[in-house]
Amino acid sequence: MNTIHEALTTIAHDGARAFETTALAADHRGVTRTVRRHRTIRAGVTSVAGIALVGVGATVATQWRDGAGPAPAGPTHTDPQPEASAVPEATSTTPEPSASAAPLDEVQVEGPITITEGMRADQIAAEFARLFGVSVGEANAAMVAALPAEAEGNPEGWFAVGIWMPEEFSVLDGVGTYDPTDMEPLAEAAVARTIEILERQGVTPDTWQQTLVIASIVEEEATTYDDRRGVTRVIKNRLREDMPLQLDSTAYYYADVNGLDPTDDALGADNPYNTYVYQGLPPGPIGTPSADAIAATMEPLPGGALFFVRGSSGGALFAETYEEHLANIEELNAPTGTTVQPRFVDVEGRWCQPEPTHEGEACMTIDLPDVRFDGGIAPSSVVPFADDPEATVRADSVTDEDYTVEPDFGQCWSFSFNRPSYAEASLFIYCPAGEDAGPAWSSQPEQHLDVERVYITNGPDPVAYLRVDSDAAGTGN
Amino acid sequence: MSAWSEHLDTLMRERGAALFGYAYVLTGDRADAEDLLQEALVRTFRTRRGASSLDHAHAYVKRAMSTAFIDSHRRTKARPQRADGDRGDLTADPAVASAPDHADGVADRFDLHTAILQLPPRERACVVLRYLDDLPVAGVAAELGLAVGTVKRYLSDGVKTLRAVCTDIDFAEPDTVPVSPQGGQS
Repeated sequence: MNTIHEALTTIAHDGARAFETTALAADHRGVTRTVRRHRTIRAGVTSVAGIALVGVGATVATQWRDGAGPAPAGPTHTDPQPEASAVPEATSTTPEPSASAAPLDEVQVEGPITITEGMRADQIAAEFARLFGVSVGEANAAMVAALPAEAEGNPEGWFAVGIWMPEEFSVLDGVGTYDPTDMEPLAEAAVARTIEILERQGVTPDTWQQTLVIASIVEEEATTYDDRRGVTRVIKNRLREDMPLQLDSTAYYYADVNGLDPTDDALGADNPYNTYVYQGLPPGPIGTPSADAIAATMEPLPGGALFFVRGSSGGALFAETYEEHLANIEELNAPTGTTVQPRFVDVEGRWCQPEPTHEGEACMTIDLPDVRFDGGIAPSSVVPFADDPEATVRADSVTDEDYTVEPDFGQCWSFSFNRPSYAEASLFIYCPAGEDAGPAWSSQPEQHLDVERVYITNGPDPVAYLRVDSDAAGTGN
Repeated sequence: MSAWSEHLDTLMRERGAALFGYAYVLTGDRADAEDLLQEALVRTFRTRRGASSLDHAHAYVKRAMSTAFIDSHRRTKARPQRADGDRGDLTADPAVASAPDHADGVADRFDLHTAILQLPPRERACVVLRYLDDLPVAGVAAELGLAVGTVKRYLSDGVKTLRAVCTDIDFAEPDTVPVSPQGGQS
């Protein structure tokens, strides 16, 4: 007599044997396409207007993660001839090449162009070149052609942070690269985003370039919004006082772009980006500023600060006099515990940012499976964790009382959303205490596993945001 | 290629048949099984929680098939159902019917499968998770998002129906049996 388990297993095996006769076994590219489409448009589904980013113009900006661990800034790329590829294999689960490996004509383009904060134009051009299968020179020419007159032919700083790809269907040409005719529309879209950000901040065209120069510097020099406002103040004060800016970041930029050894030599080199040698702003941006940096540039902190020093953990201290500045340096050098990154404060069970951002008061309520944003973090009133299979089930079964979503199902929750003033899709991850977001989310070992955490990120290494009682804010381990 | 599509390719190459077999148990029809597997693949891979291993992905897809199976029946209640007596591929599946090496058990399995396919979708999903995956009742409840008491009722009703039809199947609770050589990977 068979047990029911044995009988069912045999049925499953019988079914499995029929698999090879199915169309799906022969070709699952339809699934791949559908998944890609889902991953592309979902950023728009939870956006402000619901449809905001879907199908607008030639590009769709989307939160995009490939789940790889320590991936570089750009998407990973598999060359059809591995021995010719200089790109290291980023995923350990990649099977060994075998007889069943895809033939050359089935290679699909993978990965949009990812422009990250601080990325330089030469790096962006290399991304364009790689994904469109053109030379770096051609890519650079397409980028320059997309620029407004105000850029004076310098693409640096004009290609907005984001994840860019041509319209999804042209991705599927199956020749290993995007269609090169998509390159200019894509470049134009990235530039248009920058102009949109500038205009939203009330920057007039005659100061676009200058604003991007300052924003690209504060992007490099500071990480929090208020520190960026402070650095902007220092830059403006020094320009007014005819003091050299004396910023390492600008000198290092020149060294990086020109392939020089970025050591102390860079600070003594005679070039227009050396702000120790030359007065005034450098002749162009030194990288891609984020929307946050551009906003900070337009809203400098008040005061007469002329100096600042940044601690190893990112926080900056400002000073009006050199003596104060030296004291600040001494303070930062004093051994202290590791500073916890910017955090949320517990206000009646809500997660609130300790200080208003330029978007205003920002709090959120995490009441799984819903997250409600009360302030500037995001505009939507309720955002379900649409990425989770459980939440998908829930959405399909709201009329069914039998169906419940467990608030704690032993894993982290996630969804993607668009920040209104950035128009950039972001990833939101909530982890209950003790739950590890895992290597798919972060290439770094996670900190603070013992408490609940929130990650709000565009990047591959999300910073854990913790929630503490308001009177405990400011200390950490 | 991005990691998710590599995972998908690997999964389809190494576990596609097993996953399809699972879908076939649930649906009893090759075309339906294909649809179900496709939907479950999309559900699994469209999320950004990367499946960290092949086994993980396999488990995710199976889970997604269970829930998608129930969902699809919820959504398609208004659609025409297969006429009574039409057993889909079961009556006309040469790949199964002509398999010569276990002719003895074929009749049993057809009876069992036919009987299972007569069960309402939720009972069916519960029976499959409980007796094919050897999940404990609480595990079935968690997978399907149902209350434990509800699962017990479905299982009880489902097994009662099956017992009446399939007299030569042992419906002993699998808890007491060493269930899976892999240690119960679901």
